[in-house]
Amino acid sequence: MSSYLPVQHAPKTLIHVKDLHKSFNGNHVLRGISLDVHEKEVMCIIGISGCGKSTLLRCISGLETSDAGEIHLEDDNFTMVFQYSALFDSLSVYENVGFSLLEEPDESTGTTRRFQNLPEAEVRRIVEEKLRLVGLDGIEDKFPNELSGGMQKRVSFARAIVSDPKIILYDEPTAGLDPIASTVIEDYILKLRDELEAASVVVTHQHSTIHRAADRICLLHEGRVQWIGTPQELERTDNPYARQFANASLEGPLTD
Amino acid sequence: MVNPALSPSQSTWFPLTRWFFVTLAQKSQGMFWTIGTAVNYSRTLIPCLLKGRVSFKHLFGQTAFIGVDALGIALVMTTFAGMVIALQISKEMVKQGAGNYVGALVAMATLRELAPIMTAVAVISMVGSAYAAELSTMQITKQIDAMRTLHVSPLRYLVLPRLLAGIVALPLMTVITTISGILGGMVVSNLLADIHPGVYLDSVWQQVEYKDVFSTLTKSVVFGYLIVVLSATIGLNTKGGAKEVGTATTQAVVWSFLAIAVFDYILTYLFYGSM
Ligand SMILES: Nc1ncnc2c1ncn2[C@@H]1O[C@H](COP(=O)(O)OP(=O)(O)O)[C@@H](O)[C@H]1O
Ligand SMILES: [Mg+2]
Repeated sequence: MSSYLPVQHAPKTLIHVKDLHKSFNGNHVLRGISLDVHEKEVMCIIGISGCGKSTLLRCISGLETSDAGEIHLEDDNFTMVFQYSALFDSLSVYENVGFSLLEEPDESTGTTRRFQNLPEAEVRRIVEEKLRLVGLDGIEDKFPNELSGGMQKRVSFARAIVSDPKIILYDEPTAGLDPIASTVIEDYILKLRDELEAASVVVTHQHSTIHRAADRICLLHEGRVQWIGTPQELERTDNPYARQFANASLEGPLTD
Repeated sequence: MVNPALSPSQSTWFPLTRWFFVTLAQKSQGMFWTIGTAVNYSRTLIPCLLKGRVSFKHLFGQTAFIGVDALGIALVMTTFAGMVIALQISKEMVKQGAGNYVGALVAMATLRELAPIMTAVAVISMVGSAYAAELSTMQITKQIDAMRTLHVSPLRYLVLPRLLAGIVALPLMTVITTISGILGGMVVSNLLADIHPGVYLDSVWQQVEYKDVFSTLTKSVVFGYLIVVLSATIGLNTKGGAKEVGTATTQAVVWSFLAIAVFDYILTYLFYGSM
């Protein structure tokens, strides 16, 4: 069973997306997405490859400008975990993870930092703590190209969460990890949800992630939200899109 | 009867013409977009430079990187250029009884044009291309995006230190290459036309004015700015994969060459054109 708990008070909406459109040179990828994600909630985004999941995350994080629609983030302490780690390859693991603590923030985005002007020793302590949380120890002085793909992914995870963000966007955080490392990441997504009361959006293909970490699931197809529900509802729904995805079957509306 | 399939009918010429104009339109659109973006970046970069909001942490290293990479090439190119000028003119001028002015001519050519241009060419090929390759690789591997989501500005963090290094390194290098170009001319004019080094240097000294030095330093600062900002603009806006990293690198080199040719004319006109 999922650890989803019904909330008594109306939960605060941290991510608000309304009627979002985005196209690339005439390729209309997002065709009116509406989505709310609350605090203390993990929203998994599923859908076949190329349906625009990464594009949706990039629009939410402001890396792409949308063509139409509304995006509102309730908290500016947001962060993103990238599909292919995207570690700074000329910096050590320590400098990567501590990047947002060591470097001056961009004042033009109006971002407030939870931590600022920390002494070096304090940064080192936080970096080591975050690395331990993702199961990595004593690799601070290595460089990204000396790490395995799975380790790089976990370092990028540590880098993203170093300033205790309230909104976290994950692009396939567990893809390419072994099952144990995946479980560590999934548990950590839940831990951040509970401790920071963060709102998380997780793009994933992995059943383990959907079943362990998701509070709600959102299925994208052809640029629209086709279905939203809890993992339990996914088992029972008669929505044809959700059925086909849950059964991983070749016949159905997703493959037409 | 002529086989209609073999004659260059409208149907074969039309697509070619069309292709030509469509390509032209696309290229110039890309050009205007890049210029606009570079100007836009400058609106962030120049105020930071003026206010001194630069991390001086990397300045020495970055300047040294430019110097170590490009100074040798710049020296060889400028020295040979000075030697070639001397080779071209010494004998003729001695014949015309103007041997005392060889130094003045070599100095004028080297100081005003050859040294700043050759130094810029060396920096473009060694450093501008490296910046474009590095930044475009960071862009296509999403490192630039990651930096943005960590709320650090890539312009401030990546471009600004390189820009400062560029506008410090180029004038310094130009001073050195100017001296070596003039000395190259001295050696050649002495060996080939028997002009005494003392006479040569005297003539150099008579010719060189503060204005020449000032205009050359201004040129090299502007060239340094153009090289770094253009390479960074092209690098940061690369889309695609490994092939596009190559294209971006080539483009940064070619565009920097063109920009320097144009700005060399504009600055020369501003300094000397009104005389
Ligand atoms: N920067 C871009 N330029 C042009 N097309 C893009 C760009 N980013 C994504 N696309 C297109 O948008 C579609 C969705 O891509 P993406 O969001 O990466 O899919 P997903 O993450 O669901 O696999 C794809 O067809 C892709 O080709
Ligand atoms: Mg994707």
